[in-house]
Amino acid sequence: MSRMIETGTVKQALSAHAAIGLLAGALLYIVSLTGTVAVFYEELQRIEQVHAPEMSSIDRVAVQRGVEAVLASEAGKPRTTHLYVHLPTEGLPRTTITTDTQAVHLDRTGAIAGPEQIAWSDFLVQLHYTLNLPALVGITVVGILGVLMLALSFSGVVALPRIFRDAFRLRARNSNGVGLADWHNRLSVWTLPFSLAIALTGAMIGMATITAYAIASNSYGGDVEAVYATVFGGEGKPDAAPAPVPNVAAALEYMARAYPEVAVTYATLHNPMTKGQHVQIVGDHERRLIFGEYYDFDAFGRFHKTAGLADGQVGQQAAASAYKLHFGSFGGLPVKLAYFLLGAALTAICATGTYIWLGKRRRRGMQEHALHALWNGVVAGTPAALTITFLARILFGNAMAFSAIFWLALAAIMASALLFSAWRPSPDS
Amino acid sequence: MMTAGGLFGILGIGALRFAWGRANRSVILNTAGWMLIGAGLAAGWVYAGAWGVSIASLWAMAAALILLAIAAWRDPARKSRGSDRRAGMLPEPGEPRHLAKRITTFAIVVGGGLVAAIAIGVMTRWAALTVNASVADANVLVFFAVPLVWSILAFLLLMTENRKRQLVCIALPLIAAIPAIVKGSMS
Repeated sequence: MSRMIETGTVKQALSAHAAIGLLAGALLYIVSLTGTVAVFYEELQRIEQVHAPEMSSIDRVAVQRGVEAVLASEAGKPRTTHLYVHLPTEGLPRTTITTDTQAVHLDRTGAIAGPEQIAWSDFLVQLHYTLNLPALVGITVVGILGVLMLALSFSGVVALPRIFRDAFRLRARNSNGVGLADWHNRLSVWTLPFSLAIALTGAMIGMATITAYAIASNSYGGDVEAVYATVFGGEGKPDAAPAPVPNVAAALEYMARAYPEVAVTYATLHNPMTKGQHVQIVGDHERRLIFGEYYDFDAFGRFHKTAGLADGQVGQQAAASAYKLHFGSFGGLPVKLAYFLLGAALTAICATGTYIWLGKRRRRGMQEHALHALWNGVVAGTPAALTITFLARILFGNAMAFSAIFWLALAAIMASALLFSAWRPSPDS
Repeated sequence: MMTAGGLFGILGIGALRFAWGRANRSVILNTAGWMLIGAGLAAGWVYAGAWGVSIASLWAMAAALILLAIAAWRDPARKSRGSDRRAGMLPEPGEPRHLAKRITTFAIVVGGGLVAAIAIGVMTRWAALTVNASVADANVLVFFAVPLVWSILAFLLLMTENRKRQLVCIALPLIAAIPAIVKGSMS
């Protein structure tokens, strides 16, 4: 490898690596850390709201009863455009109905058991998805971070001329910067398949809006929905005339009869209680990376077609596989644990990168007390601020402004670290 | 089959550990290690396609991380001087900041890189449709191509400080995408 790559190339790759890493290091660290914790999104929801009713399965008649009860509870209010029924799964054995304005749990009989209260878990996922920025801007910024993570992977590989020879060399107890560099480089090399998969799927998901807009502008007269329809299927023709509650139970009955091997995870009602309404069932396929197949039914529960995510075009299957591959939800708890450990390694790689750069500057005689203190603030402050938000959830309930608490706490910790370093600069900083 | 996939991956990592720990390189051992890893991925694919490959690769990565942990545990405490190689991200004392130059580089990599990546994406879609790919395949190709191409371009643009070369890197995809853009806007 060392013979293949010239010294100048290695030096330039290292500069590129440092430039990207330092530019996006803090945000990459936050996104990596929150993604690592969010692997357990389902488990966190169960911890956050311990007493919500749980069940291994629910009768289709009970689901129908729950849908009718929720829609009846919204009578006289603006009509919801979608209604989602989360059906019990192994990871989250709860039945929950979400509309445009509320989310409630059902008990086994289909009666409304109470509101869903998982604001902290949702805050965590939103922090990872959008950094708490407005949705479109935030998810695009996080998508760009995925692009930068890919570029870091490429430049990192080129900047390591002895990548194979040193692959198992880890001078962990060397405190003069060598150990830190070894941890960074070895973890980077051996988590590379994971990092590439996470970065590419994350970048694809995050940048989908920009990409779809580009395709739509060039080939669909600006109709972005038409682009997605070629992959995931269309929304159906809207007709706002009133109609009775659709027959979800019939659709679920058909699924149990025609597709007994498919685990139904969601029932989605599009434009419920209008003439244009239709029912869509999401079915999870065992030992597949796709998040599921869409099974389309009309309002009477008559099956029409599948979208083709399981057995359609290769592109459809690839697009549908990006989500489980990114979130680590394709193999139960063992895969989640593996993703947690690999995610922790990725977070450590983000943290150590900046420390390595600061260490090199220090060894060239440049003490960067303020930068070092700020980076300490980011590295220690992010998990600390997350813990503070979780404590706020436990102590003060579901209605707290978790994003404000998080960012204020992180800013306060970084400011404290800066003030402390000005008052007592560390000889090693 | 899945057990074999995991096992081959673990054995492959073990073989590479042994090969790279020797004083001299061994082509046979290196090849055996990589082939075992490849066999593990192939077994995963045969068993359950992309899902099987993902599971098999997790086993291989886990084996490598365990071997790394052992290396870290056995490493004796010592002090050798760490690297002080310049990365060139910040100026050294007394050097000018070159702020305009840095902002220009940022604009070229982020703005120019994105536009060029989208151009390549649009061109890819057009090329795929030209060879009779389905519309779904062509569109999904763009979804994956844009971030991947942008990351490669970002890397390439930062690998040279020569502005002409950087602008050529941006201009070539834009020129190449003209037929696709014209054809797309006419459809």
